[in-house]
Amino acid sequence: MSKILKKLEGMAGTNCSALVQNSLPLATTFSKDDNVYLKLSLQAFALIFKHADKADAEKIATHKTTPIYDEAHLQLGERRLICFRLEDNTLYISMIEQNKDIQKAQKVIRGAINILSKIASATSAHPAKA
Amino acid sequence: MKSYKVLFVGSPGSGKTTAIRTISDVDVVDTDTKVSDSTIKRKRTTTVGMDYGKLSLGKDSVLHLYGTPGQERFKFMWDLMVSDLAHDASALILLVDNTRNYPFRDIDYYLSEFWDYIVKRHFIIAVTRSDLHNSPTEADYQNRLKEKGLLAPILFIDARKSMDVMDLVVSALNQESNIDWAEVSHRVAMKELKNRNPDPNSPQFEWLRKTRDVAKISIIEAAMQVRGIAGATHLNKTFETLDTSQEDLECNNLFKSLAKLAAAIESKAPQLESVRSISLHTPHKNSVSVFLEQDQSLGLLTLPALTHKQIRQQAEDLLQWSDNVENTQKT
Repeated sequence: MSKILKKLEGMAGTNCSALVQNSLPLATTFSKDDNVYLKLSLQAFALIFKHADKADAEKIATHKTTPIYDEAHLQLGERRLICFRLEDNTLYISMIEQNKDIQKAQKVIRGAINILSKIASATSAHPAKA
Repeated sequence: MKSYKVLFVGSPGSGKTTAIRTISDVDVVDTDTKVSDSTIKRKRTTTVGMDYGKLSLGKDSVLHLYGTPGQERFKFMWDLMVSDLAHDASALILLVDNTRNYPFRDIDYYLSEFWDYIVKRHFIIAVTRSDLHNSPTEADYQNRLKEKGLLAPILFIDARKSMDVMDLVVSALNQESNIDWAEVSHRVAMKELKNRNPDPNSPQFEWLRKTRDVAKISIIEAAMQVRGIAGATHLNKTFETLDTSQEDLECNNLFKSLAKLAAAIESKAPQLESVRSISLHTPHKNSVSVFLEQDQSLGLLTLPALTHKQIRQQAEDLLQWSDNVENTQKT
């Protein structure tokens, strides 16, 4: 599955990425050195979406309808972590340098959301043998 | 006829157009248009293409003065100028506005953007607006350059004074021994005297009055002038609201929660780089972004059509220009 992530990274211009379900990586291309960013961002994005959902819930109560935020960015120095919220408690997290084309990365990853969701479902249904 | 060139770069409002206009023999070719973004915090017109002026250095030599647009969204012009129009310039003069909250960050930014260009020619730092804000000092700038392993002349100037700008030019071309600098300086000074408006209230005498004829507006008012920004909230370092355009309580609470979360992330992972921004997006809904500094944060609600780059540029300039930062760390 890492091959698929690598291909997506190539198209999006990102450095590395991970598909994470219930806080556990299904697949990752984060290096050992960069793994600290993945661990930190997992917790950070969970909280970011929690805050966003809370604000949305209050809006839904007053304004009835509002689409929920499914994409969050965390800029750490010159690195940007981009997280897409997929179905079934699954996140796709990627890391990109600040000076790269973030718009392109965002567009490419958003276009691949359905495929990533299917991969995540298939992998969690049939986990790879150790 | 021998030609010399110098290139002026720097943040919006740092005085590039003014410096060129101050010493040019000819009417400066400028591309100033009415400000349509956060630069309105600082001035009413801005350069969108380039500035060009010319100064005669004697019978057989001339100095071409080029200025880049300050805003990063016109970066294509920077590339065009360093690769074409000013590829053979003798010097790059970086104008640093001393009233910006984080002027060292400007130096770091322009050094990284123009590094390949700088290493091949003279590099001079010209600090402007120090009449309005005297810190950082020359020693602070020298120390900063030393930390970066750089040696460069640092001149504190008033871009409206011709002799100050002449000091820059002389420093930029100091290896040229065949130029009669006394004659050039005398001519420039006489021209300035001749063109001087006798009215002491005219803009030419701003430097004597130590005032600037631009009405003060808050960074929130400036943010709301930007096409694509639907709401803005300015927070202090304890995440209290300093100013806001937002009546939406949930949105303001979200800005604060994200700013607090950024602080929590930094305390949890102090070994990593500091959190510069957090943002939330989805199609067909305004994006929420929070930009963070040690002493202030800015929350922006932006239309989905605005790109990350556009949002970041506007936010960074607004935070550089905010007036109400207490105990600002000039880093």
